[in-house]
Amino acid sequence: MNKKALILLCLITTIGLWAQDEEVDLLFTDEYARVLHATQSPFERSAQFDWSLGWFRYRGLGPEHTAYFVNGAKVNSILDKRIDWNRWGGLNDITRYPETSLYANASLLPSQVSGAQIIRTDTEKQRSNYRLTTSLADRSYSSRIMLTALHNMGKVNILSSGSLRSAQSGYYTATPYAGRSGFIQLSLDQPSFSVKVLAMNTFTSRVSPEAQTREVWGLTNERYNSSWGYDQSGARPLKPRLHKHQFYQVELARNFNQLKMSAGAFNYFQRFERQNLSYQLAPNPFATYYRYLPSFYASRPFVQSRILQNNGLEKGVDLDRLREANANSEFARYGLLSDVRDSRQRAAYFSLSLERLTSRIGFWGQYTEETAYHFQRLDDLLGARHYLNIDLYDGVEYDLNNEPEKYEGDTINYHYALSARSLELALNYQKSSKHFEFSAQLYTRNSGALRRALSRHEFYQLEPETSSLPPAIDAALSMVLEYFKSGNSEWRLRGYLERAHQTAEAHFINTRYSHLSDRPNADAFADIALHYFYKQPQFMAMLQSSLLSHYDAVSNTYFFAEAVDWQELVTQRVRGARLMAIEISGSLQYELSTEISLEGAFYLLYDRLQTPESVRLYLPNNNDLATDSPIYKIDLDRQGHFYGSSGPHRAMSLGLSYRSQNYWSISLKSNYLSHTYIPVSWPQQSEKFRQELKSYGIQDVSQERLDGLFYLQFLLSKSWRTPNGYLQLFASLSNITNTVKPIAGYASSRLLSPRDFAANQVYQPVFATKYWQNVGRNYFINLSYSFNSI
Amino acid sequence: MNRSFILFFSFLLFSCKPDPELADVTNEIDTVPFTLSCEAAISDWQDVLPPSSASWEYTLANQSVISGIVVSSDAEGAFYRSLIIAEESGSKTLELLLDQPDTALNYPRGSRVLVDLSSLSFKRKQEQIQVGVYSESFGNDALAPIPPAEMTQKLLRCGSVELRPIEIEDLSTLEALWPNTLVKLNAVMFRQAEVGVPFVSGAKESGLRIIENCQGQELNLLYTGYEDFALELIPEGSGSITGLTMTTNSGSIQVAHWSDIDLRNQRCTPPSTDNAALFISEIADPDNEAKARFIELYNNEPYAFSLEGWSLLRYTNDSVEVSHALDLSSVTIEAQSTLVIAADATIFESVYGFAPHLEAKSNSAANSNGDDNMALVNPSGELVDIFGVIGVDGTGTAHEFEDGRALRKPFVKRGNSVFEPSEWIITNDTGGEGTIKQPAIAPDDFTPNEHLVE
Repeated sequence: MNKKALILLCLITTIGLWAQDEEVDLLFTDEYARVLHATQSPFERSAQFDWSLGWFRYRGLGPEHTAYFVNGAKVNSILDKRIDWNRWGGLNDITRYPETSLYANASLLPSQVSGAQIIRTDTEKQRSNYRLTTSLADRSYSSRIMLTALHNMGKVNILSSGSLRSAQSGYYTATPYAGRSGFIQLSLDQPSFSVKVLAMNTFTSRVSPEAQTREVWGLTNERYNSSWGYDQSGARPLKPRLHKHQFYQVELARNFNQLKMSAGAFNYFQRFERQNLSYQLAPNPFATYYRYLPSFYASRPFVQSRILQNNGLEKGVDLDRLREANANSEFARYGLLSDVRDSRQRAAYFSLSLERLTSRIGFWGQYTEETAYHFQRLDDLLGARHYLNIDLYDGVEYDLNNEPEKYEGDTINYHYALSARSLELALNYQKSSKHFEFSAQLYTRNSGALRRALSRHEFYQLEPETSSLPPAIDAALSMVLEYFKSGNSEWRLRGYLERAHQTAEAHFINTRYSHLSDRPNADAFADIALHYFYKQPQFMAMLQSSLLSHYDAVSNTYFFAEAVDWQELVTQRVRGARLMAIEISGSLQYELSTEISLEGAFYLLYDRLQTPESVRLYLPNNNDLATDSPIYKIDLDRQGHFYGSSGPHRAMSLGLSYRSQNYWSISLKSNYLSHTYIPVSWPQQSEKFRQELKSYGIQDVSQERLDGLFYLQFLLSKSWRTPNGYLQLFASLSNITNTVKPIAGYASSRLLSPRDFAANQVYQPVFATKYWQNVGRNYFINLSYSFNSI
Repeated sequence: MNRSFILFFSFLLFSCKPDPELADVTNEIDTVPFTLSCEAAISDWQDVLPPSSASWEYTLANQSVISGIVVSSDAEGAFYRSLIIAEESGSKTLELLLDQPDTALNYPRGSRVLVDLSSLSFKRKQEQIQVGVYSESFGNDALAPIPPAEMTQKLLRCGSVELRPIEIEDLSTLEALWPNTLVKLNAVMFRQAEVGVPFVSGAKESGLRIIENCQGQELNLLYTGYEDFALELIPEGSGSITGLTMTTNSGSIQVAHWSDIDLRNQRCTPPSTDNAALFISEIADPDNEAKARFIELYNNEPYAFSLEGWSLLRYTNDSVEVSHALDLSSVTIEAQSTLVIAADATIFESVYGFAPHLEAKSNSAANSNGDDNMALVNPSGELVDIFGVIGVDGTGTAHEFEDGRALRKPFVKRGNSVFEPSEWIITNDTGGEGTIKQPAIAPDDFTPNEHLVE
C-alpha cells in the first residue's frame, strides 16, 4: 500500500472514528462496545460503529466490566462500577484516539474482563491548533458546533474545547435535546516531567427512546414516543434525562530515564436527574396504559364499536387537563417528579513503571471515596396546592421526620446516601523478546460501603439509619502471551480470572427504603481468549475466539406484579446465575486495487444461561422489619436452556469502499444482526408454573428470539487542503432501506398466576413484551476545518 | 471505477426495498373527524332521548351533542365509574357509564358538559336512562361503559354552574321527580337508633340508613360501602341532606360528599303516630299448611311512617296475660299499604310466591292456630286495634278462625279497640256464632299484601 493510500486510509479511519464517537452519542445507547486493540480492524469498526444500530455488545458485557481511565485515573463509579461515559459528548476532539485494549495496554493500567479504555488528554494528539466542526443530523441532536483550540504560551500549553448541541426534536417524536460541554487544560510538557491541570464541564438534556409492545408500535409509527405533553406553551417531554458532569484533575509525571512516575488527583461531580410524570389516586395520563389499548377490550364488548380504531395514541398528554384535575383536588393528583442521583467522587492515584529494553514493570494504585445522594424531588405541582408524601393507596408514610405536605423543590418518597471507599492496587509485568511478549497483571481492590437513610420510612423506622457493607477484597489476574512470527502475523492468548463482591447498590434488596440484604457470594469471571492476526500489503485478516464464564452473584430488577390477592411493585432478586459463552469472530480486509477495498467482519456467540440458584420477590411491607425473608420465593427446579440477553449473538458485515486519488471516498456496507434474545422472565420459569400452563393448553413459553435485521450504511468523505489547514467533509446515510425492527426488549413479569398468564395469551396479550426498535433511515453530515493560524 | 465495483455496488443497491412510508400515503383518510368543542351545536334532550318504555330498551343514539350539568361526584368514593348529568333547563337526568374512576377530577359536580352521543347507545326504562356502548353478552343486549380514551373525546367540560338542588320539605314529593335528581331535603335527621354509629355498618357492603323529617316521614339513604366517609359517625342533629334520588328504590337517595349531610340543628320531634289509622286487616290459619300462617296490618294513612314503638300482642287462648309481644320498631309501613308478618318466611314465600315484610315465629301473633286474641298497641301503650276478646278462648266463638281466615271488611278505615264481629269476615272449620264454616286453603283462599278499603 503506498504512502498516499495509507494517509487516506488513516484519514478515513480517523473520520470514521470521529463518526463512531458521534454515532455513539447519537444512538442514545448508554452502553457501547469499545473493545480490542486499536488496530483499526474491520471487526472493530463494525463492532463500534456499524453494529451499534442493533445495540451490539461484545460478548454481552456492559460498560461496568470495562475499566475507564482519564489519563492515569480510573473514573468508574465505585458504587456500581458504571460510567456515564457518553455524556462527555461534544468533547470528541479531546477524547479521540482512546487506547482501548482487551489485553494488556501500553499504559500498564489495570484492565477488567472487557479490557480498559484510556483517554489521554495529551496535546500531542491535536493535529492542528484550531479545529472548528459543524454537524447536522436527525438523530438525538440535529445540529452541533465544536471548537477546539491549542495555544502555546511558552512552556505552557492551553488546550480548550467547547461544543453546543441541540435539537427541537430528535429522531423520536417530541424528544428535544440540548447539550453543551467545555474543557480546558493547562499543561506543561517537558522531556522529563509534565504537569496537567484540567477541568471539564458538560450538560446534556435528552429523552431516551421507549420500549413499547408490538400492539403500540403497530398502532403508531417507528418514531413514536408516548412520554410528552402539551399545553399553551407548546410540547414538552415528560421523561427527560439530565446529566451534569464536572471533572477536575491534576496530574504530575516525572521521568527518570527508565523510571516513570506519575501521581494525581481528581474530583468528579455527577448529577443525573430522570424526570417523570407521576399520578396518585387519578387516572393514568399516558395513552399507552394497558387499560386504554384495544387488547384490553378485545375480550370485552367493544369490538363492534368504532372506538377501537381511534385511540389517539399519538396525541401527547394534555397538561391543562391534569392541571384542571389538580385544581379540583385538595392535593396533587399529578406532578412532575425527578429521581436524582447526585454523586461526588474524589480520588488520589499514582503509578510507577520501570521500563527496560525487554521488560516493563508497573505499579498503580488509587484511593477513591465516593458518596451518592439519591432522592426524589418534586419539580412541578401542576397547579395543585401541595403534594402528599404518602402512599395514598396503603396509607404508608414515606418520611416520619417531616410533614407530609410537600411543595416544589422538596424531597419526597425516598432519600438516602450511599458512600464507599476503595483502595485499588495493580501490579503489571511485561516481558518481550523477538517473537514473544508476555504480560501479567494482578489487581486487587479493598472496598467497603455505607448506606445512610435520610428519611424515615414508616415500615422501616425500627431499623438503624445506617448500614454498612463490610470491606471486601476483590482480585483479578490476567495473563497475555503474544507470539509474533515473521512480522506478518501474531498470536495472542489471554487468560483472565476475577472475583469481585457485589457493588454497594446490589448489596441491598431495595436501597430506596431498606437496609435489608441477604449477603450473596462474590461475582466471578473466568475468560480465555485466543486471537490471531495476519497482515500482508493488500490483505489483513483477524480471527479470535474466547470462552467466558460469568457467575453473577446477585442482580436486582423492579417491576409491577400481581398474584391472586395482591399487586405491588416488587424487587426481584436473582442469585447465582451462571453464563457460559463461546465467541468466535473475525474480519478481513482486501485491497482489490489501490482505490477499491473489500472488508468484512463476522461475530458468533454461543452462550448458555443456567437457571439461577434462587429467585425471590420482595414486597414493601412491614413483614420485612425483622427478617430478610422474601414474600414470594420462586423455586426454579427446572434446568432450562436460556440465552444471554444483551445484544445480537450473530453479526456480519460486508462492505466495499472506493478511495479516489483526489481525496474523496465512498463506501457502502451491508450488515446483518440476528439471534438477539429477550431476557428471561424468571417468575414464569418454575416447573410448577410450566405444568399448570400446560393444563391450559400452553406448551411453549421458551425464550423469545428477535428477527434478524439487515441494513445498509453509506459513507462519503472529502477533504480539501487549504493554505492554513484542511477542510473535511463527512456524510453518512445509515439504514438506507429504513428497516425498522425490534432489537431489544423485556418480557412482562406481571402475571404470577398461571391461569392469568394463560388467559392473557388468548387474544392479543394485554401484558406483553415491550421492545425497543432500531433507528430508521437517518443522516449525519460533518464539516470540519482544521488550521494552525487564522 | 472498475467493473467489479460497479457490479458489487449495484448488487448492494438492488436489495433496497421501497420506502414503506410512501405506500401509506395513498390510503390516508380524507374525511375530517368531528372534534367536540364548547361551540358545538347542541340538541334538545327531547329530540334526542328515546321514548319511554315499560321495560329496558336499547337504542343507538344519533349523531348529536347534548349539554348537561354534572350532579354526581366520585370524589369521595360514591357513584363509582358513572357520571350523572341533568338537563340544563329541565327535569330529565341520565347516567353516563364510564370505564374510568376519579371522574370528579375533570368533571366535578356542577360542571357544564357537552356529550357527543355519536356511536353511543341508550338504555332506557321509564325515566331511568343510561348511556354507554352497546354490546351483547351471550346474545343478550347489554350496555358497556365508555372506554377512557373515548371518554375524553366525547365528554367535554365547558365551564361550571352553581348547583340549585330542588328543596324538599315533603318527602312524598320525591316520587314525582326523575331518578337522579339533585335534591336538598330540609329539616331531616337520622333515626335516633342510628345516631353515633359509623355511616356504613359493614365495610365495603352496601346498605341503607333511615332518615326522617319532622313530620314523621321517612326515607332511605343508600350507601355502597366504599365511600371515603364510611367510618364517619352519624350526627345527632337535624338539618339538610343533599343527594340524588335513586332509581332502584323509590323513596331513597344517595349522597356524594360527607359535607352534603349538614345536621347542625337540634333534633326535631316527629309528630306522634299514636293516632295513625293502622289496623289488623287479615289473619290466616290455612287448613292445608300450618306453616303458611300470617297476620297482616294495613296503613290507611296517605303517608308512610315508622312503626317505632308499635307492638303486636298475642293472648294465647283465654290468657289475660300477654303471651307474646312483637316489637314492630324495625319496620316502616308504606302509605295505604299492607305489612305482612309471616310465621315462617320460607314456607310463606314458597306458598304465596313472595316474601313477607317480617317474620315472627313461635307463639307470635303471626302463628296463631285460630283461637287466640291479637292486639295492636301504639307507642304510647294504648290499644289501637283488637281481634278477639282478651281472656276468652276463640273456639266456637265469633272470633274463631281455626283452619280458616279472618278478613277485615272494606268499610273499616281505622282500628277499633273493641272487637266488633261485624267488621270481620271469618271462616273456620266449625261455623259457630256468625262465622262461616269453610276451611281455607292456601294460597287461593287468602290475599296477603292486598287489602281493599272503600
